[in-house]
Amino acid sequence: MDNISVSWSKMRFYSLLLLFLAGCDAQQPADEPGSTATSSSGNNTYVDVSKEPLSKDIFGKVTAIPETLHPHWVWIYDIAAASMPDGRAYLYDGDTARVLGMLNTGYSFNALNLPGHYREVYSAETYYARTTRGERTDVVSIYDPFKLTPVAEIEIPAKRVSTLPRLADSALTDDDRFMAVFNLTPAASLSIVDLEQRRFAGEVMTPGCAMAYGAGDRRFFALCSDGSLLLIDLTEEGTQAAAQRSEPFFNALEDPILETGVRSGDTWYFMSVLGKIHPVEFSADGPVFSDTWWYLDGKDREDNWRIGGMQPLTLHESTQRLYLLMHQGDFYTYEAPGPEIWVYDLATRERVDKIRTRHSSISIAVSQDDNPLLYTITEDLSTLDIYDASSGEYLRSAGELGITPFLIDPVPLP
Amino acid sequence: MSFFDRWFQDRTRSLARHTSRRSFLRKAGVLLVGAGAVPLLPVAKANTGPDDSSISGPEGDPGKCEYWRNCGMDGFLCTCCGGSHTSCPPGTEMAPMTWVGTCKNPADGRDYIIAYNDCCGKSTCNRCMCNRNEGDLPNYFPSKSNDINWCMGSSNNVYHCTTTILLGLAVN
Repeated sequence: MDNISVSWSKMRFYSLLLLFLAGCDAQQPADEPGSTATSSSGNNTYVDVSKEPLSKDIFGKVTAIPETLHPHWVWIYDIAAASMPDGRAYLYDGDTARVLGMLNTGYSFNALNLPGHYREVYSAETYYARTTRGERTDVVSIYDPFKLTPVAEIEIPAKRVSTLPRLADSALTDDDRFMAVFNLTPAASLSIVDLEQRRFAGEVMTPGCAMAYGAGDRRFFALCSDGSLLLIDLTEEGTQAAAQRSEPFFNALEDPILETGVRSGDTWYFMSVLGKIHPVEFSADGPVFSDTWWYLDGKDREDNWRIGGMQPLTLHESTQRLYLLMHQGDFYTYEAPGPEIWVYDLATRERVDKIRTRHSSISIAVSQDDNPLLYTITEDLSTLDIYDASSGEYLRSAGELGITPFLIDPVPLP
Repeated sequence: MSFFDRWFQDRTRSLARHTSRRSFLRKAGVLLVGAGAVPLLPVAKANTGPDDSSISGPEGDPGKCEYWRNCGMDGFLCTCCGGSHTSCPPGTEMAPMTWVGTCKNPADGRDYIIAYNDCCGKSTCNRCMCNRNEGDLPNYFPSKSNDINWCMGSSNNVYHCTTTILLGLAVN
């Protein structure tokens, strides 16, 4: 044992000595000005004496993200399905297709929730004390979106749902005060978190209904298996004030709507598998179901064109341009990737463009600025392709996107 | 359990294109809470079973995605992970809840109720992924959604692989 200690001491001494000598050497000028240097191997090497030697790097620097939010920054959410305790969220710059940084987000990660103020971002997460065993703890983690460091966490009941990622597995109220996290045990409920006071506010049961969508400052709704929706109104403390189950507005067996919806003002739009758009407006009194309309005409349906993907629709709100990821396939291909993106004008209900993408895609999203970018994740989950959303022109790509990245979330407008 | 099916889109699309919508309506995907609930299950008959022509032997190979019991499978086959099609790999735990399907046994022509119980407690096996997406509905219909991790019902929610437990004859 003593011999081992001595050996380690000697090794440390010689290691430090070597580092010291190397450091001294690095500080010496290569040679006198105006001369050429001779390397240790004896070969003559030209030294450009007209240039100053490089200065030493500073050890320990960490890159900081400029705290000026850019509308072309975009989050990519990765469940890391090959090693699910290791979920992560990557932040990309759509203008350069470079990674700005990432967050580690625990087991069976779904998505961040991005508030409009963007001073912080929220993440419903699950952890096991020994990675895959030991005590389970579910939390809403709060991160600094520029430093990409955790700043707080709020423990919630350890029953957060574990699914293939869906943006609607959690949601924020319109004023970003409360967050709802979908639970499934298989009893369905929402954990309500007060983000301002940093506390778990309570649980709201949602029997027969799933997921969470924001619809007001104190209001969420969930979609139900009988084709209705459940509207939950909250008190100022984040507890349930009222629950209202609507009449059915779609047929979950004959023509289900996709979980991904898009929102413009007080109206949510959901796409059905057979080709209808279901607008749902949220008035003070509750939901109002406007007439549905076909986004697929008879020929499209005859040719088996179908919406499909993991995140197959996105809306550019100021222009009312609706983008749908399309492919040809049968009824149960509504999660399959597509080679085309069809663009609609929500105001006129007309299809205005078709974009043939470079690769078949599994998810799409659009930035909300006046020069919007259209993002797609390729079906092999390897690449983020970036297009001009107005013209459909391909711009650039980011490869090695992640492990199994499924969802795209552009940051809110500054 | 079907977290991983998007890796295998070609397989998904291939299957789905050969799946009629009506065939789903003849398939049952119901929430199962323990074997005692079996007699209460609504049972439907699947007359468009998997293509069994390539499987060998009287019932085929449980390690192949085409195996008849895998008609509603969406996950990693436990046979390839140290377990079998009816038992979990060592050190894992079988989830008591799942969704069920009705599959036709090519050896006797009968329809059987198959429960796709997940094995839980270790991270993903990552071997023998099998995805046959027929009958999948969105997550607001949990009992018919294969995008949900059914380990939720076990003591540990970490998904490893999936078995195919035969519960009995399907009854018309």
